[in-house]
This record gives sequence, structure tokens and C-alpha cells, in this order.
Amino acid sequence: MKTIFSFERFVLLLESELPALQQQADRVLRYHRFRPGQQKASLDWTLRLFSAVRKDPAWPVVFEAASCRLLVGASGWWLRYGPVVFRARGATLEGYVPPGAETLPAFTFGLVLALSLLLREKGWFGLHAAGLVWRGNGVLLVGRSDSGKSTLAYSLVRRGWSYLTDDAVLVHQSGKEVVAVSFREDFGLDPESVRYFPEVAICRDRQPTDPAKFRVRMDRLHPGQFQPRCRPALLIFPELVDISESRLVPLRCSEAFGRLVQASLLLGCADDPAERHLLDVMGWLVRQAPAYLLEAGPDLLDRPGRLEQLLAAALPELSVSVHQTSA
Amino acid sequence: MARYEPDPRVNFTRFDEGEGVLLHLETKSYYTLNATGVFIWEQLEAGRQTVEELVAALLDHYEVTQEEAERQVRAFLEELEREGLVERKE
Repeated sequence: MKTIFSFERFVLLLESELPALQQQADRVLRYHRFRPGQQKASLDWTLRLFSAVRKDPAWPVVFEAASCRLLVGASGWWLRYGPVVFRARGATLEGYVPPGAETLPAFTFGLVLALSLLLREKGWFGLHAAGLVWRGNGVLLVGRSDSGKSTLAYSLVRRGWSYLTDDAVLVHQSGKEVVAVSFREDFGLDPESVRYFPEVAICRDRQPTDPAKFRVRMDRLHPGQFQPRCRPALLIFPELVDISESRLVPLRCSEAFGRLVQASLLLGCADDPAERHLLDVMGWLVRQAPAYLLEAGPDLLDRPGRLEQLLAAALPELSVSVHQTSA
Repeated sequence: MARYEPDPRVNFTRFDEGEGVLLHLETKSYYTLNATGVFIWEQLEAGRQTVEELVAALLDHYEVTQEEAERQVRAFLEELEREGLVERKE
């Protein structure tokens, strides 16, 4: 079976002899905005999936966390996620999936990470961030899981903001600017968020990458508000704190840069040119968009509009556009 | 005469405010530099890697005494060496 997918400017050919593998990969790819169809003549990648068990080669481990490890050899890289392995050689990505393992979260996590590594080689760098757009201004809420960014982002979408994603942004250089691109459209919200957002109760599916959360079908609940990309004009780093009045604290460029790097896919591989490119792009992003720490208290959810008020004050361009008159 | 060579695994990013960041790509350790630190690191990258060369550059650029410049350069180099950001070569 063969299917061609396009994501932004990239084209991927998916091949597998097993329908079950093909279907699971198809599901993961669509969840991350890969759409069937070919928008240009040449392929960027071929993904071949095999039902097989593979042992790791004796290559240096450059990254290891929990059940995930990345090894790099002369011919490419080798990514293990639990029982699932992805091997990259040039433009070819081979996936070795033990029988039945395609239904495990490890297959989804492994494939998404493998795709992120392929995109990284093209200069598109993953960032744990929510992306939003308000009156033409891109805003990134950057932080690890449990920093509150999905809940805060969703509260802004309810007030009419456009959205890219709640957690999966890719940033890349485009001309003299850094552009943020959505790598996943649906939001993942904690079931407790129903207290503030009752409409989420109709979402019964769980998020594939985090089954503890509801998969919120944004195109159904908030049709017409999706934007695939934006130029970030503001960087916000939320931290949940127990204060009565939430506030924004300006961050120096060096502080914002450090926080961005922590939220990115920096592997710790000094010989990899993509590592320095990643740091360059994060540096440009920090210069492009002022950054603030958001000390986020319960008032942001108790008082709809409070977060919008805070962010509007941090976007200086807005006051210019409101008062601008023609010459 | 000892020379202090930046470790090739260290990435330097400079910002407009005069500060900069050193990031060791293997350990992922992260260090913020003030304006003087940025100046000295850029001298090291430009090949001025002895205490004498760095002190002379600092005296050319800042209004400091010889003693103060030397104290600052030695303290900074010691810290860089301790953190594995430069390699001292005799």
C-alpha cells in the first residue's frame, strides 16, 4: 500500500505491506496535519513500515529519556521508542514495528518524534508552545506540559482569537523572519477544564499523545478560527502560581532564549549542524518578539478577558494600528 | 604563555542589549554573559587568547585600570575553564 502525504512544503510517501500499520501511520500523520495528496513533483521523504523486531546497533547514544533513545551512526540515525524502531538513512525512514505494537502509544510517540527529527534536518524546529493570532499578531505561549498553556490558549480561542495549536509549533526561518507553523490542530484539554469550558464535555475521544486529556476537535467547536502559520510578535512563558492578580514580567533576551531552548528539541549532539541552526533560529525569534513571564493565577479563568487585557498591553503595535490615520 | 581556546562544542549567541549566552552543546549547560563577558568571549573567538592580549583589548575598549582589567580577565577565564567552556593550552 502506498499513500502520498503533504505537510506545508514537504511531501512524504508512506509504504507498508500491512494494512494495520498503514492505517495507524495514516492516523498519526493526519493528526499532525499531513494531508493526502502531492503538492509538488519531488518527494522529501519515504516512510516504509515493516512488521519486525530489531536490536539496536552499537552506535553512540546521543539522547536518552525514559523509553526513548536516539543513536547516531555514519549512515544516519536510529530511534527507539519502547519496542518500536525508526531508522533514517538520507530521505528514507524505515519503521520496524513488532506485531501488534502499532496500537501502542510508543508507535505514535516514536513516529511523531521521527517526523520531528526529519523536519529538524530541514530547519523546521519543534517547540512546546501554543500558537495564537489576534488582530494579525502572532502570540506563542511557550512551556512544557502542565504549564497551563493549553487551557490559557483555549480560553483565548473562546474569545475569538485564531489558533495554530495548543502544544505543537514548528518554527523556521523565512526570509528575515521567523515563522511559526502548526504541527497539530486539535487541542488536548484536561477533563477538569469542563468546569470552565462546558462545551468540551461533548469531546469523548482521548488525545493520542496524552490519553489523560480530551481530544478537542477544534474545527467542530470553533470552525473558521484555525490559522496554519503566523509571524510571532510576542513570546509568553506561563507559570502557574497562586496569586490573586496575574501579571506579566518582562524577560531579558538571554532569559527568553534559555526558556525557548528548554522547550525545543535540543539533543545535545555537538557535531550535528542542525543543533547550531536551532539555536540561531531561537536567537532570531527572541530578537523578533518581546518576551514575558506570565505569572498565571486563577483569576485568568475566573475573569474572562483578563488574559486578553494583559496580552493586549504587551503588544505595542496594537495601539499604533488603532490610532493610525492616513497622511 | 597560556592560551585559552573556546571549546568547539560551545555555541555563543549575542543579543542587542549587550549580553550574550554560551550554551555547551553536549551538556546543554547554559551561561549568561554580561557586556564585559561578551566582549572577552568575542576576543577569544577572534584569536586573542592570552591574558596579556585580553587585558590589552579590555584597556583599549573600557576605562579601567590595568589591575582591574587583569583581575576581571583572570577571574572570567578561570570560570570559563572550570565550566569546560575553554581549554587552557600551555
